[in-house]
Amino acid sequence: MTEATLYARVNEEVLQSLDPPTRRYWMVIAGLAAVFGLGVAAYTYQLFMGMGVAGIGHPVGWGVYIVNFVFWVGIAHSGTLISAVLYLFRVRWRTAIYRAAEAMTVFAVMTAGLFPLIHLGRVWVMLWMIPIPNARHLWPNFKSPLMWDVVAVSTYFTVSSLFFYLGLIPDIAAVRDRSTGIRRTVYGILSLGWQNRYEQWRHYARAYVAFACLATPLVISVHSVVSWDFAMSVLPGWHTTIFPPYFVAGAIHSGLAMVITLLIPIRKWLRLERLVTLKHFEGMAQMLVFMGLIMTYSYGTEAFAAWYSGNKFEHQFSAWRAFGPLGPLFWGMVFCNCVVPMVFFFKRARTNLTVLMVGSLLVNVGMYLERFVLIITSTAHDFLPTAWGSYAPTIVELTITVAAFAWFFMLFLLFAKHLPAVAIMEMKEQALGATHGGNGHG
Amino acid sequence: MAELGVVRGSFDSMASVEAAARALKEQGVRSYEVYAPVLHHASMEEAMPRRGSFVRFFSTAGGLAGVAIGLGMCVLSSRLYNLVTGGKPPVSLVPFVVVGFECTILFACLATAASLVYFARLRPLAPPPEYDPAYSADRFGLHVRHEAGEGAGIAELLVSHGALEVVSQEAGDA
Amino acid sequence: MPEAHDVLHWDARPPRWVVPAACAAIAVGVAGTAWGLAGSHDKTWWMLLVNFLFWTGLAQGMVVWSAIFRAAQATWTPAVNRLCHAAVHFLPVSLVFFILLSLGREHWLTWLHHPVPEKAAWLNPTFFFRRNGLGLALMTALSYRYLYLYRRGEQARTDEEVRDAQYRINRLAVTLVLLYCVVYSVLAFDLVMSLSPHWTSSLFGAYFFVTNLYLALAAVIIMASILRRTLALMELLGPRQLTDLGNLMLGFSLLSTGFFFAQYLTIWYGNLPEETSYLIVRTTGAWSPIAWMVLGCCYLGPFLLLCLPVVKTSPTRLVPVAVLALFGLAVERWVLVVPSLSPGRLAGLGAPQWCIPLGCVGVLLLAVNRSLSRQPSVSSLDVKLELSEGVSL
Repeated sequence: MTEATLYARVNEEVLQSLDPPTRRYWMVIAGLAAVFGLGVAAYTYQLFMGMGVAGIGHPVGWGVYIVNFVFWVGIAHSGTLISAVLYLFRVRWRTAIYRAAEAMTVFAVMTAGLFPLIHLGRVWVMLWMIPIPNARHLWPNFKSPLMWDVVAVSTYFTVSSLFFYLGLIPDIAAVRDRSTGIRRTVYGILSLGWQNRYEQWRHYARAYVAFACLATPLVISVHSVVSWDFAMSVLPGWHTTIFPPYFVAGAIHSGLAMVITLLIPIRKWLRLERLVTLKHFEGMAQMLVFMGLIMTYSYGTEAFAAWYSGNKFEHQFSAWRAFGPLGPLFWGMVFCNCVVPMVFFFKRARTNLTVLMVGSLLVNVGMYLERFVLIITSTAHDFLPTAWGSYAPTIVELTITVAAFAWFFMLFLLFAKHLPAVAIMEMKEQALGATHGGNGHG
Repeated sequence: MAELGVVRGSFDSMASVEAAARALKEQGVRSYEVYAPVLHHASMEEAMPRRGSFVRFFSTAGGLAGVAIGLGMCVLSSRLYNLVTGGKPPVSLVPFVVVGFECTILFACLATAASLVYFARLRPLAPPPEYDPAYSADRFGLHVRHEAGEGAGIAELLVSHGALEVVSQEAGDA
Repeated sequence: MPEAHDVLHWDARPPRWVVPAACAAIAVGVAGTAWGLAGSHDKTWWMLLVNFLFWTGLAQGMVVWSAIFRAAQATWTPAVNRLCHAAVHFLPVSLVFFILLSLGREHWLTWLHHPVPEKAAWLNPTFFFRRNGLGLALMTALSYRYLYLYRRGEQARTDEEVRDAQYRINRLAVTLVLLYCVVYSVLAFDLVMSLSPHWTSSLFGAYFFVTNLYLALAAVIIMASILRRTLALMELLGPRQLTDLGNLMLGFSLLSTGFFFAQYLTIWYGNLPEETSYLIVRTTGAWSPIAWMVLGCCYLGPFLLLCLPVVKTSPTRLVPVAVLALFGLAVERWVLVVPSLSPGRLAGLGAPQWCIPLGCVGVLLLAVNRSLSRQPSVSSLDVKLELSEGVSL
């Protein structure tokens, strides 16, 4: 096959996925939008009735909203990991899946960003967290981990969106050149007049590498910052030094699982089987094993450090977390995050889509449980037995949680049908690399 | 300088367009542009009149500005009110490092993106008429601007390097 | 890339001075150590511990790097792998080192004199030395087994045999890496953290094994730059591989800095006496300038220098950075250990204590020399990576 035919084929295979969607697609979108609408209604209700309609109070002041925040920020991590870190490591299987992973990142941050606002109660005072000069000379307290969160998450959203868009520019141009009418105009604007000229490529290539180099430390720092929301306190179960790497690993773990969960149906639906192959899933499953091992190490070390500290608050708390009323959730999280990924040590499991789907779903469940266990238990069971309490999410919180999933999937489905879900240019580049001995635009 | 004409060659492989560009450079032709659905830019650079990019310089400058802005914002805003909060001194560099770090990345990325928009001339406009839509699919293009009378030689050079199609346009034709 | 046979059967003859020089260094090291141990002060024991941690970490870290490259199926590292293997012969010596330390436990194991009753289940001498000794012995045995599998695989004649050897090596590589993380975490908790028995930091184990890898990588870069000409590896250790090694080191300097900062920030913010005591001793008073030195030489310095692309392509620019990191990490190991034993003043800089690293360099030189002069400079198995399939059971 000649180079040009190869390119033409890649082009065609990806662009066919953008054929006008069916009525069923719009029905699914409408369904998701309806669920999201329910969430909006629940939130409006909360806004008018006050935070009392949520289950949070004393002693558990951080409930499902914060669990959702941490969960979605975590999901957002593997996108940048796959696009930036694996790019720098020149991992070949990254190419076919990184676009979908990046899109997932952007939408997951958009979802995550909603939750601190929902949790805020009086959402209109969120402006106080933005560092802008104001009439009263009030500035945010930059020593507060919650402020670091504002800075880190908004930076992450900005950078991952820019990185996502940067990768898309040449591909949108490819879509523009194959479309007509209003679509051509819209894609034309979005492609920023991209002409595939050397004069553009030479700057583009440098910018892409610069973004990859900058995004790598960023992705590590952002979830570290999220972990510091907890670790900066002195609560047993929260105040521990291992939190940053452990959160980062957990984030990547859940993110990878979510990419697998999304890609399995998407590739079938968009008929991308020839571009996104079993080899890609194998690569991700192997990473899942690796991350599962890090999670196991982290859980183990955390438990060991609590025991070794000889501190009776740490002892009673660890015992309560594992064997108290929330114990089943704790063991569920251990099972899903540490034991389940180990099946991917076996090649037969890594290459079986059903096992992959079930495994990745379980990891997602496990990671959600982890955040729940971690966030709820520490405040529910701190130093003073008189202050011990419990927490259960209310129907309002649950509705908003489910709506967040609908919102995320809706955005993702909209993306998959309107923008190339597989990176056209880089797939071609890989084909060129195979004939040319190159290694990406580095 | 005399009026310019343009020769547009279309190729079907990276190797041939690169060889043609190299040949042009050897002949001392100054003004040509390659269009490619992908770019193996490291080897292509040697065949082109201009190379390198200032983008990285802007990334670095943005990063340096970012760290200054991040730390400066923290230090100055906490000095406005010298209040001890949470048992920490008003100006504590340890936590400010976090903000400084995030701002470094943020501003480096913004500067990178802005410099790319500037240098690659990204505008939300339709591409000019000489752009062939096939350049985003499977075709490579080599557009050479030349002085009057040189068109035939250049066209021949492009054909000899495997151009599938060559269109010459002398000055004033359009 | 050169053909496999070009580099495999190269007859390496080390310079003549290597063995006598190494023996002389060892003699000076042993004599100096004996002189120091005979003295009344314990600081020679402390520096023995510091040197044990540094050099064992370096040698084991190198072998583990080879296992990491294996586990990741990296195709650019055949020459690097081979250099990593050369450090394995240091490991038995480090076991002897450990036995010596266990004999002199009274001199450095602080909690023997001030036991901590609530931690007695973990911090009791019998269990303490058994688990660490066992961990070290296991790592040494597996490292040797790893190399044995290489040697056996190199004898393989058919593709089938090669494939089988590759599979076994890959599987052991993964085991080696996992075990390394566990054993070196325990070593960190025991040989460093327990010296301040009231202090805990759950990240410390991971910090220790990550900085160990950083240390080993710096050593590999230095070795690769010095030996690539002698071993005819100019092609396999060209600018591209050096850049990759430099980038890896950049990553590890960033990771080490991150892990350090994660601990520092959490402890600083929590401000709990049992946690901050460890930092206060090291960041105030006599030790404070040393702590700043570590920050510059071990974390930020190498990181900032390695950010410059020009540094990574040439050995003459990369080696100084690696030396800086190595120096920074040696100082860092010193700061991790000795202030727990001598909080108020710097200790361990006397003449006898300087003999210890000299002896260790001698041993390492002998170990590397022995390995490089007896085995091919690149393993055929690392060149034939296409017959290797990654780990699956």
